[in-house]
Amino acid sequence: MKKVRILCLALLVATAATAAAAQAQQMSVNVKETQLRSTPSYLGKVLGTLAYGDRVQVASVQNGWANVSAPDKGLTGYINESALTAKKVVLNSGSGDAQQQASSGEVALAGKGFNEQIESENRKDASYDYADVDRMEKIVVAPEAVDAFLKDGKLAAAGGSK
Amino acid sequence: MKAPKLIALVLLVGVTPLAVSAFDLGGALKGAAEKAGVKGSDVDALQGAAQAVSKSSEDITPEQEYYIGRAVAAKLLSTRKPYNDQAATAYVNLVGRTISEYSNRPETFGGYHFLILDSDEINAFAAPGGLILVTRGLLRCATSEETVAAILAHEISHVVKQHGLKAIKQDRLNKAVIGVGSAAAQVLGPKDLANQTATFKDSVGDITSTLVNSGYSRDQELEADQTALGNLRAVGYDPESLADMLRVMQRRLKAGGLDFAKTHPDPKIRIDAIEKALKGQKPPVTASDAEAVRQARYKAALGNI
Repeated sequence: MKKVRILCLALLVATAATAAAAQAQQMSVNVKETQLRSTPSYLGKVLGTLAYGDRVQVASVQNGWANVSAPDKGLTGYINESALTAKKVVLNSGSGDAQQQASSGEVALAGKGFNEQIESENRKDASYDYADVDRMEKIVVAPEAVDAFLKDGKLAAAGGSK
Repeated sequence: MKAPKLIALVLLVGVTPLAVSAFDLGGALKGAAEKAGVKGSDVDALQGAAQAVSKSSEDITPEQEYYIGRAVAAKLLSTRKPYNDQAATAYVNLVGRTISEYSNRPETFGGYHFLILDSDEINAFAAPGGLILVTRGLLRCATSEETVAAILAHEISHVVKQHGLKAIKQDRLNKAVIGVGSAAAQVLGPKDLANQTATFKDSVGDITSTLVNSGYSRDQELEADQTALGNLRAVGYDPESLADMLRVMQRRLKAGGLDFAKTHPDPKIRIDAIEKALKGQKPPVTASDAEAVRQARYKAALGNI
């Protein structure tokens, strides 16, 4: 019985390895959300928004921008390379990709560990002031403001990263 | 029978192709183990064996980096007050955001955000993920947009290079459920929650005590400077502004002070390294009208800081 069980495990591990290798061209979004744009620039028209863990197919990367397609959303365009990872991002079982992962036998929870649940526990500790952090995070700078800032000050070619 | 079973599994981890990290395998292994009917306690032992191979700060996911960074900032802000000047805050965020777009990591899980601290101390803190705090005292050392940009580029570089996460001690990483690969319940039970929260606080403490007391290593500071030089140049600023900034600080920092002087290498060492890196490089040419625009907007936002 024991031998059979170990053999089973060996097979399963081998299967997992093969599956991982086949996904070499795929990348995952590794930020809370990112915009897919029409051109490789923060000034490109926003075609759609992708969320943490969403999978994309990367066709090419140039000057820090990846030309990607997100078949699930029927989108093709550009995402900044820094918003992507080759690592697999598996979320708590929920919708889309995450569910697939769970059903393929990989019960993996990237959301576990240092997450929102831990933060809400940590908020009970008076030696942390999250109110100012929340206010700070609400400060958003629009790409158009950056563009105007660069143009007015005759700085780098506007709109592109790097 | 437990021991041979574990040995067999650990061996499997060893011979699996390198393309799959041991880190991913932890999850695959555990899923596989459960399918094969291995009991819970064995599963946990396996998980431990697989993770012991690979735990490092690089296993921390962007989401976990985000929550760690928020807690680091929250801890620092519990004893420090923000400076609530809207124009100054907006300007620092505009300059900072612009620099980050030209860094090697324009996007982080929660993005870059900047806050001015209402303090005469000369100091700045970069929490993991991009929450950056700079004091009024430090901004007063700046004399131009370029020098403000230099300060922010240095702090952004600490985020790009993830120096904060590298301050977390190894035993926290071993205890923390980080990365992908745990098969326990999705919501932590009371005991696990208490343990993980304690490990979380310890990890945050490692970073804040590094930022406030011990400082990053000299190598990390010099690396942040070098990274900042390239970043400033990419935006179109003269990277020499970082050395200019440090010269002002060198004059103003008090020896034995509890701020920047305590946590950073002697400015002279940094200035020398910067000059060495910039030797032979031509500074960007700035038209006088552009210089005037930059100086005017800097004065309007931070002239009275």
